[in-house]
Amino acid sequence: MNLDNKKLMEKLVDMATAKGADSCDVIFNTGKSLSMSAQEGELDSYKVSGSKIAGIRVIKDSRVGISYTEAFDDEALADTAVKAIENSKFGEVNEFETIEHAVEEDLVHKGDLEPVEGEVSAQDKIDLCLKLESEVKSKDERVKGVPYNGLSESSTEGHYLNSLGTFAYDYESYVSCYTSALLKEGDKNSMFYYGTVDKHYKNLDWKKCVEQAYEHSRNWLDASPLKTGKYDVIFSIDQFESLFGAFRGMFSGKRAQEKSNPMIEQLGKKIANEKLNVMDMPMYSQSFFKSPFDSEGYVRSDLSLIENGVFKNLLHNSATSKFFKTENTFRAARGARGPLGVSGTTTVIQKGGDKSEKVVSGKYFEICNMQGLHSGLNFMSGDFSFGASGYLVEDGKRVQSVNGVTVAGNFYKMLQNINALGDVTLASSGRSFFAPMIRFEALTIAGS
Amino acid sequence: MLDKNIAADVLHEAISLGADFADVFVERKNVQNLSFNSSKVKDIQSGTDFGIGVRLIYGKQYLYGYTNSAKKEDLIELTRNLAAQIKNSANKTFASKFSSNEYPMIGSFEDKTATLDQKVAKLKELDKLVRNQGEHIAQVNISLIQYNQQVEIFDSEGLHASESRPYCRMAANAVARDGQAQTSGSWNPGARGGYSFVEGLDMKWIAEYLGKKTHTILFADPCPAGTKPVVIDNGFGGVIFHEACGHLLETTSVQKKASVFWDKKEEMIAHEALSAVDDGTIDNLWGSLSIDDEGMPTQKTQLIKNGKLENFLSDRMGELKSGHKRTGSARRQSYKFAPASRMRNTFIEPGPHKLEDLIATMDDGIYAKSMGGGSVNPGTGEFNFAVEEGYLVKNGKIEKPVKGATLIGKGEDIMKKMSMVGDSLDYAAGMCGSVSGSIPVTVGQPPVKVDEILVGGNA
Repeated sequence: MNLDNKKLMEKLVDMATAKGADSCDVIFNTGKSLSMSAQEGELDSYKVSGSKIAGIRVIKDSRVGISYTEAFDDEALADTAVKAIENSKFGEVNEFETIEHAVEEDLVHKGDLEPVEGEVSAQDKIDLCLKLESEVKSKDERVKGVPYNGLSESSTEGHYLNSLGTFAYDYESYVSCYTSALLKEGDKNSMFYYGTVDKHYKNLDWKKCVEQAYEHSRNWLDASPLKTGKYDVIFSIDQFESLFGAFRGMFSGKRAQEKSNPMIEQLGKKIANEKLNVMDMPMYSQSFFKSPFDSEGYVRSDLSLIENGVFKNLLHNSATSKFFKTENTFRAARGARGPLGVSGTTTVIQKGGDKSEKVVSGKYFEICNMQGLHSGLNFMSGDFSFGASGYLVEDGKRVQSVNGVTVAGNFYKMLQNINALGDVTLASSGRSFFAPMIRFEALTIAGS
Repeated sequence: MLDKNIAADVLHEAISLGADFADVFVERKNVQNLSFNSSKVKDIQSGTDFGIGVRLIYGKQYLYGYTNSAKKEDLIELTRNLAAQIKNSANKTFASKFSSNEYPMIGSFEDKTATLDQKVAKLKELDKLVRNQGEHIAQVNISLIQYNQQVEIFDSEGLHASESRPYCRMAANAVARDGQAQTSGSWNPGARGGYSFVEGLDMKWIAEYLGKKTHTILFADPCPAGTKPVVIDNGFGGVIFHEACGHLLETTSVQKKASVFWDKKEEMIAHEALSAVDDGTIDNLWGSLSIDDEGMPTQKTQLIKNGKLENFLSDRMGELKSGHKRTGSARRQSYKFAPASRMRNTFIEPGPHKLEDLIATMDDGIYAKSMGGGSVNPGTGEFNFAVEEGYLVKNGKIEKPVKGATLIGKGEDIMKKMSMVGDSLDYAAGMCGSVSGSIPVTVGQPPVKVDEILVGGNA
């Protein structure tokens, strides 16, 4: 932890206080990264970066103002403090948003004491990057390219300081790699991309990236659409993480306060199959990122979101909990540029009691890739329709590679229509989402 | 923004360390965002982004780094760190002279002075108008986004260019409800320019549009799935060309042969009814630029003429790797990204037909009045788009609204099935995400008929 950073934050707090802020807090983030990619057996690109950003939130006369800067001379800092106070004058009176959390002892979390930097030599990194291309190419003469590949390492420091002296510090570092396989045979082509992440180079499973990218791309070269109809569906863990993430706003207390959470009236009611239990677990042992405190400096603990199918809790910060006159669940989130919001940490869907044989029995569509997640859904209605690729599976055996189809349904209804919940917990490739295999009933597949 | 002497010293350092080419990209962006929710001001944010990116090119390889510091010693250190990755000890020198570049400045809406009070009043007016559209309107969210991006570019060929780029966008979203059924609809106009753009918007029209659109979606039946003809209306309907073809014509993918069109120049890749351009020079449009992010004056690029592929969109790396000449298309979200060839204002040129004529040709099809976003896999050309507001067409006539439709296909197939082009071109603002970040672009088209496409739905 760099004490100069804390001093800079204290200076910004002092400036805002001197300009008349009743209270304020500062988010200060720094980051360093290195990334590279390969093309045609040579290093194609190499990028390094170092960045800093500070954002202040002031409260004056019960109104909130926000400003940020990437310049750190005294003039820029003073200007940032003044702008935040000026912005507050135009905000509405907000009796719910206050800064009142005072903790004497600094909160410090270092995600990994051993920094990534210097773990392996620069040449080793370049060699690994080149392998992400060459190993895929060596798999099959039909591999016509590895258009997307790369290796990166990154470290971030997050700092929080408020005018009551509460200070929190969080350090994280990670390495990641990804690759792709573009296969062509006659008029047919297919491509798949796979990435992985870890704390250390020695654990980085780059071979899995190569295998996954090649395997799916090879299989989908001979893929065909399913016949249009209703199919049971099992999403791969990564695809289900993406789909679940697109509708995670249903747990947002902030959205509820803004009347943009379609599920708010269902709080306390049964919304899902009774087998379903969803937890938000900031310190889950298998999770890649731990998240011990929130963006108001409060210490987090596990939170049940859905229990036996009943919608149990929302993600709240101090302001949304006051608005709803309920307990704070300490899920405040704020970036340096933005306002106070909420966010979850690691999502864990508890394993069910169904044996694998039951989950995969009969015929279903296994979805391994979806396109259009950012556009093909309506969060308010829950309706979605995406392009999809995967496999038709019968009794656990992939019998047909599938491409060129759409999968459509309604997410909120889908939670009720669970046929089976597996008894083994799976981790997403980013180790930020954990769930068993879940078999959903009768989604609409459009194909041939 | 950056002292010329410092820029010259950095470029000299890069060239003396063996780089064939180097450039320095300086950016300062002043931002003000105002958001409105529940008929009240929700947040007002402002701030300044500042940073400098340094790029070194060795042969066909590039190295890129950035920093928030404008100090000479920090920029030199960054340059040395980058150059250290290359085993090249050529000892060249940079002439240390910059020439003034002349280029036309693209027009923009006047940055009329308006107080925050006036802006808040404008959003309140729209909020009230939308809420008056009917009992089905349950919530209104409006944002006003304004920023000014100042860029300055120096390169080792002596170029020194700069531009101040004003942007203004309003995002209006209405949530509609009927019992347990809920949905939402949005209208997000944007332009190159200042606040006078917002003052010129017809708030009554926007409110009525959102009122009708959300009402239609709320009470629509699920869309039936299957392969059908589709008429895609003008404006944001142009996202289909953007995704299905535009991305595949960027040298960003062409140079890696990761585009199905990489070797199809001068070949027929689309129906002969179709011509398309990417034009960065149109005054006031959201994707217009005077210079690109390599300092080259932007231009109008004919992509397809009567079905034939005429040009790709290229930047410096694209030209080095693919041989296609630069088109003023180098773009990036910020100093945190190296530039890449990207679209600006991309649209299908108008044809001879009326919208009604296109719809009348369908016995069993979909009229996509309003499109959502989409995406493409450049390597395979597989794309997808969401239809926000769609209608089932039977025997040439609109029968009923349908919801939840998605269109999927392959770019090289679909371009040949765009057989009829309407006469009413319109544009729409959007954000495009790709290798060099998220950038403002315009999509556009007149109404277009696609003879056959797979429609996904939940009926």
